[in-house]
Amino acid sequence: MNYLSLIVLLPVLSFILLIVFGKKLGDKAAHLSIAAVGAAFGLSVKALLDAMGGAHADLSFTWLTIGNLKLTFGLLLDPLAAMMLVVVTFVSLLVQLFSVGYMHGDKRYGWFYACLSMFTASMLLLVFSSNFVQMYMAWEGVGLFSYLLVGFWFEKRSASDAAKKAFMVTRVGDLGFGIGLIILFITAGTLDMSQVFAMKFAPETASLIAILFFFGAIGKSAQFPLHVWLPDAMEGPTPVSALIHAATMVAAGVYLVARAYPLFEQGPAAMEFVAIIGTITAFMAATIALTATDIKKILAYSTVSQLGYMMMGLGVGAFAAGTFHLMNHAFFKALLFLGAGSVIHAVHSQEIFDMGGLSRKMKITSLTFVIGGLALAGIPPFSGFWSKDEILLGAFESGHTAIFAIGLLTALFTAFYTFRLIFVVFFGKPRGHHGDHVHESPAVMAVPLMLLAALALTSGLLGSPFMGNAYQSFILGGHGGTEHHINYLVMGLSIGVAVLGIFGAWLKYSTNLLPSNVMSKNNIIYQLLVNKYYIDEIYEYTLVKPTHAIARYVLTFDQRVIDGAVNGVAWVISRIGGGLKYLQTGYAQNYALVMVISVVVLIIWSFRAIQLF
Amino acid sequence: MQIEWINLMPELMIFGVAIVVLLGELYLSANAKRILGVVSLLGILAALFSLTSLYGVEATEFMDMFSIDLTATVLKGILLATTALVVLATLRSRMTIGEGEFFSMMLFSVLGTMFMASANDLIMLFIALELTVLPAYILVGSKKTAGSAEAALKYFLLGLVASVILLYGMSLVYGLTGQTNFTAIANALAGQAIEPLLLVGMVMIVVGLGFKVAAVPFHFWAPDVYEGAPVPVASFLAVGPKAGGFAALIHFFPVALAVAAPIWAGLFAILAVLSMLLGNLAALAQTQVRRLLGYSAVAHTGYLLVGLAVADSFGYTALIFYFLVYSLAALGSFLVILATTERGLGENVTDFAGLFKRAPMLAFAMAIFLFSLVGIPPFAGFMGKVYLFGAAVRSDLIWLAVIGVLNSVVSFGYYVTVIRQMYLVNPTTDDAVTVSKPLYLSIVLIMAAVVFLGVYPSAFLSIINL
Repeated sequence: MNYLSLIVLLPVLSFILLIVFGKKLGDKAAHLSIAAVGAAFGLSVKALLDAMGGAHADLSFTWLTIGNLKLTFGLLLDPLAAMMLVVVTFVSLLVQLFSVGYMHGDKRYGWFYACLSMFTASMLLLVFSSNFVQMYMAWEGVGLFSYLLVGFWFEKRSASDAAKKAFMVTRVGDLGFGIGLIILFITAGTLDMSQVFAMKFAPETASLIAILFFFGAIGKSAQFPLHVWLPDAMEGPTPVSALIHAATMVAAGVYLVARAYPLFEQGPAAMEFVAIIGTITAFMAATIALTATDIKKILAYSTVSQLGYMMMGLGVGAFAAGTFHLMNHAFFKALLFLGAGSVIHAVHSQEIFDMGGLSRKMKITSLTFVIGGLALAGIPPFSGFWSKDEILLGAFESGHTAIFAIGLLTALFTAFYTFRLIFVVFFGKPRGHHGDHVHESPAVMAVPLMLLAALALTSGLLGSPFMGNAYQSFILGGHGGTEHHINYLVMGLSIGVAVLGIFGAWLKYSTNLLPSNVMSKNNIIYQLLVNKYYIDEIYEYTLVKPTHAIARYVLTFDQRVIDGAVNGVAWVISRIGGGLKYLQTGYAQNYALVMVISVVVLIIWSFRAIQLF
Repeated sequence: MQIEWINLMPELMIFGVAIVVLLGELYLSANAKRILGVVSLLGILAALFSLTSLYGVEATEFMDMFSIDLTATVLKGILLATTALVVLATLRSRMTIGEGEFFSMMLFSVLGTMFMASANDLIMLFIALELTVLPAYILVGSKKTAGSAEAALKYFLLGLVASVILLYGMSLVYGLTGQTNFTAIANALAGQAIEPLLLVGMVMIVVGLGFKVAAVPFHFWAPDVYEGAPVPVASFLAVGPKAGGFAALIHFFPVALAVAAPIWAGLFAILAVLSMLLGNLAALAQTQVRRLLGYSAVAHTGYLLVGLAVADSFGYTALIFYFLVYSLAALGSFLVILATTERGLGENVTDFAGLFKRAPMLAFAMAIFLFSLVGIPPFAGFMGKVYLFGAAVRSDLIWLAVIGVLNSVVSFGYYVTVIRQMYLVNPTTDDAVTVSKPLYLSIVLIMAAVVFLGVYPSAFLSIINL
């Protein structure tokens, strides 16, 4: 199973080569990076096949031993990791292909691919980790490289601000994760996953650790109330959003919960907490998406909402459904982001009301975008339907009726905002002044779209009754696959609200059947949504401004008092240093004299020391 | 007397190559002499290869005068590897003396150091030590300038004083025990009260060897030599002879003078504190880079002596690991200086201004080496200090560890001035600084090792069974 380490090492190698030779390679930088991630994808597929054949690898070696503390480093392959590996490498491969066209001519082309490579490597390491320390390190690595990628156009003030915000906000959650790790180590004495998962914890301990871990997930997966960074992070290049903010990094939080599931399951309180946070997030983000007008922000809020669904699924105990939605969402949301990239590439605007009627000019983009939209809205047989239905079913059957109802309502909103976007952008009459020069994107951008569209169409079938719920029995592995049955009530409701949502969007945005004063912009609810529940403002006034005030105060204190003290010490030390220089007279006889005197002093010292022993 | 020559293979190879290279200097034409460096490099690599077959072998030769054990083998490995890097780096350097002379002197000195690492007898130790330093004197003085000559003369005269003190100490030990073999000395001393005269002898041996490793207050030669010697020589001195000194220290004291362990451990603690304090404080006031590194070398001797003050096997292994880590970073920074001075840059800290713009790779490498010397993770220096100070804490020498950590903090002050110059100050000229390929390769290899050992120290620690 040694090829497993290559999956991580290939992108690292590509990163190193790009850092050293990036400038010389020029446009060829992309080829190198794509070749590396392509090979990693091939190996990941092999890993998946091996995992389907029942292989279960745990390659660990001791990394550090300090006294009794032993830290291991290793790779763990199980169905969950294998599934994630394929998703990460595949989406990364397509995004890198797409970027050949999208980033063409950028002056930091090589650096862009270097960052993408290392981001992919960190993400793969995270997925593969056999212990929590390594996972935490990879987790931070992912954060660092996403910071560099979001702030890629750092000349733009808003881009570097967004990168900073993403980094800072996720750090708040990571603090919880870190504390959770420390508590876990104190109670369990190890951070090795297979050892931890084999242990029994008291429900309170398990809940505490799991909730602290979940704080990390709240940050990374943009859950309420730390979701504020994700919409801002749309300042990065669009392919980056497709990779980081659809398929990989934001999914890392969900993955953490899924990975540490044995721990979560032992803490009922933690499970409830995950379910509730997930539900709030799913609902809130979907409502915000109803009023957003920036194509990428709509998709960003949609991502937040869908991640909420995944958490909801995991929280109500539907493990297979949550991870299944993670996989399906990765494909169709990457598709939607890349499609949005293709549109932005053509129109040079992100405002949906600047667009319109694009389906005539951009056939491939609009067709694939609609497929992605159907998957997101949850229309069978597209992928999103199967997993979302499973999540709702899980909530329903575990007796979380309120969560089920909110989930259903959210599904209605999801279908509505998705098709509001589609009708406004791709149908109707052209708006704005993009006029005639709109054109379909080049093949290198179109092919990834088509591949992802094919997956958005089919990946859900893996978990459908038509294929005997193959996904569920694979991911649950030896954990005893649950008996699957179809609940026509839930399924009917879920299809019903999706159709209703699409129909509503059609009525409002594609026909003139509704009087224009329906959904007026002057009511309180609209204002609340368009201002994103004022959460950014709340942070601004309760956290950011007071912190700045304290920082200013500390700065003055630092300059006047501490700096003074430090400078004083530095002055004294350099005086001593200057004084010591005179010991070095340059005369050999003086040195010899010092040596002889030292001999005498040391002999006297050792005579005195001998009395002590 | 049956001698297993295979156990002496690495030494024999170095000896052979040294002779061949010296003869080559005599008989080859100026052009043909260029291959002497390559011959030396191949010889060292061959010796390193034959050394690997001795891994795990425990034996003694020459009637117990020469012992082979894990510590000696690992130290020889470090020595040969770093020397190979020095030779690689200087392949294209303009020499102050003939290539053959330069490389053969270096090889003879290495040979002496290898014998020091294996010495199990006072006489063997003394001869090996002289063999180590005599070529070093010649190398230091090989540049025909006042600075070089002054440094060589000082090094030679003070070295002579140190040798005399060392020899006197040895003769006292011999007089008390009637033995020169380390184990025999230990047997003779076992179970007896410690004689005052033994203490006198012991202190003198500490002083004699302390001089070789540049411990305060026997360090005076170090700044002058590091500054005055030709740069390739200074690079070699940062690793070669120092390895011999520490090899002798961790072989002689724990074995022969085990009875007086608390006392010599105390002596080393004193020297460690003095060296750390004086080395770091004096370095703060330096404006010349090589002199700064000279004082930094003194400070690092202080850190290394902590391992001897701990006086248990954990301490010695931590010392060996730190020695490897230190010698890589020190060698690396000297090679960067070699690269810049060969292109006519000065040696003041301010001459490094804007190096980042003129030679990004060199500036980056230098920054990594200096960070490693300070002990900033994830570079090797950090792990080295973790183990070294960890060993001190383990043996309840917490105060020593605290002084060590505080000194590391102070040392940041002078290393960062160099980094600041390289990265934040604008260069006076934008001319690119080019580096010869072998030197570049050598620097890159060291850089990789510094990062690798910082990230995965177990790779080396498992070799020395820590």
